[in-house]
Amino acid sequence: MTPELLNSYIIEYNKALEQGQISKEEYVELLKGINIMEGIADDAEGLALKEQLNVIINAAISAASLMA
Amino acid sequence: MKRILIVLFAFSLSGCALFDAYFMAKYDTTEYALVNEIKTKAQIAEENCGNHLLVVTQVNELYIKSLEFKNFTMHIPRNKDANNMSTKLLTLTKDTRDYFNKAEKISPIFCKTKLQQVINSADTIQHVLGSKPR
Repeated sequence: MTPELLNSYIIEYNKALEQGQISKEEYVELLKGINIMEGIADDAEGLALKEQLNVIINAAISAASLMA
Repeated sequence: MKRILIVLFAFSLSGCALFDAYFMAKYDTTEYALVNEIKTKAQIAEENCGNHLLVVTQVNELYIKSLEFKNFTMHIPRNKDANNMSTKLLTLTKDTRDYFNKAEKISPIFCKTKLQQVINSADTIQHVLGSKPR
């Protein structure tokens, strides 16, 4: 999750709280949710990197076996 | 240029990271279907935010499906990343379920935004699970 996206969520929730569209308890609950979302996004980035590495390794193995 | 950087990065990694990447868990249809179901259920629940009773029932179902997803990913070898994500998604749906069950009144904006968090997170997970090697 980019800092810009994170910031846009917080601005959106702050606005909803100021306008009385959500209660304080609901606001806190939404912030808790953002924290979890961020953790999921971090894990997803790590897995995506592994997937890219997997493709590269397999391509290198294929190339090496063609040359052999 | 990006590819060169990735290759350079790959060579700078430890053997352990390369081993992890090479032997990572492959794409699993059931795993993908479960997270897709969670996302779809959350989208349906979001449409029913005006009906408190119905949305509470659907949020409970969402939690059960997330628990199933977490349990499914748990014992698949070299699947730690998917298991970590499923555990976090379970926490998110559990928090949602607990709040919806205890609150007497839920504002429509909160209902939609909270379910959007579940939808976005499930979508993030679905995207990386779908890109796992075949």
